[in-house]
Amino acid sequence: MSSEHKILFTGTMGAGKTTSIAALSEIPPVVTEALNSDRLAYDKATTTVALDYGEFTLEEGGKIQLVGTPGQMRFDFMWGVLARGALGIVLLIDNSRPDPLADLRTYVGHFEAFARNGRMVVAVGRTETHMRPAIDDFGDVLANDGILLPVLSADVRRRDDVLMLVNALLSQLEMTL
Amino acid sequence: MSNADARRLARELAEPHLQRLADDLPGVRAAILASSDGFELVSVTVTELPLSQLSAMASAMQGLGDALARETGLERSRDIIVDSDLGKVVLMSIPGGPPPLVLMVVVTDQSPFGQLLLQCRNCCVAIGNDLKNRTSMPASIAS
Ligand SMILES: Nc1nc2c(ncn2[C@@H]2O[C@H](COP(=O)(O)OP(=O)(O)OP(=O)(O)O)[C@@H](O)[C@H]2O)c(=O)[nH]1
Ligand SMILES: [Mg+2]
Repeated sequence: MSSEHKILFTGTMGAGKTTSIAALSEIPPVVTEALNSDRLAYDKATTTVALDYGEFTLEEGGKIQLVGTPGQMRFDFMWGVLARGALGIVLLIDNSRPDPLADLRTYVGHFEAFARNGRMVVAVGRTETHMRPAIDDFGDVLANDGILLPVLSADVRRRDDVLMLVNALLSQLEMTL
Repeated sequence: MSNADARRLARELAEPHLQRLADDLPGVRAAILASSDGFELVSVTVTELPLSQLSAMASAMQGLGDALARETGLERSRDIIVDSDLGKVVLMSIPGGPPPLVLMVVVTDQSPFGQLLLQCRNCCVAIGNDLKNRTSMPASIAS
């Protein structure tokens, strides 16, 4: 792989988009965190309002731009802007949310062209405390819709896990290109 | 003071300032005060606009402006102006927070640029001052 490519990280508020990029980026990430005034939606101090940006160099020398979206639907206008020209998407699912399978459908629906072309991997987080739905359940929901994508369990606080997701996406892309 | 209280107070205090801006400045289509994470707190509208959507956009623009300012060594962005043939959108941070707030003013081309900037700035300062005065009072007086 040569030159520069963009990978997009998306998913619900608090799923770990900002955390993923901070874990993997070789440069101090560019962040757009604002004070979170909706502690009912997710209880954390700040939330992303525009984007996260980090960089990562592949062993072969190609540079990957790591771009994170805001999570909330009210920022969905940013999703399309940021997805433009992206090679693929890492969709982060927070398994502690009330209906993770519905979250999957929402985000896959929004980024349908990526999902249908195999340009996406699904990463399920917080599986250590929330085992249900199981990884297979996510695959089943996708399969019912005629979509085949890798679904992996990951803790994006760990750099190795994020690296695994990026590698899974890249090998998935090699198969479909 | 909790986050929710701060927002309620901002809503209360800002309304007359937004109204005055809309009355005094020619060509105002809408003046919106939003939280920095993209919620509409209070607005005065002359023509119908998607206020929730615009509030989220205001915070995203402000977040991007701040990131750009940081990356270029300017520290913090204060104002952002979107200029078109048909009018302008002005985004300004309210000084002095917390809570961090952003003012968005949408105007037609009837609005003279200098006056637009001056009155938007005055409006921000007035809201910021009111908020500071109220939040620095003991709770018993402030409520
Ligand atoms: N226990 C646990 N915590 C996790 C896991 N993955 C992420 N987190 C935590 O969840 C939080 C995620 O926060 P962010 O990275 O800001 O989430 P985000 O997706 O960028 O959120 P928004 O920008 O608000 O949409 C962080 O505090 C992480 O440490 C996990 O697998 N287990
Ligand atoms: Mg984030």
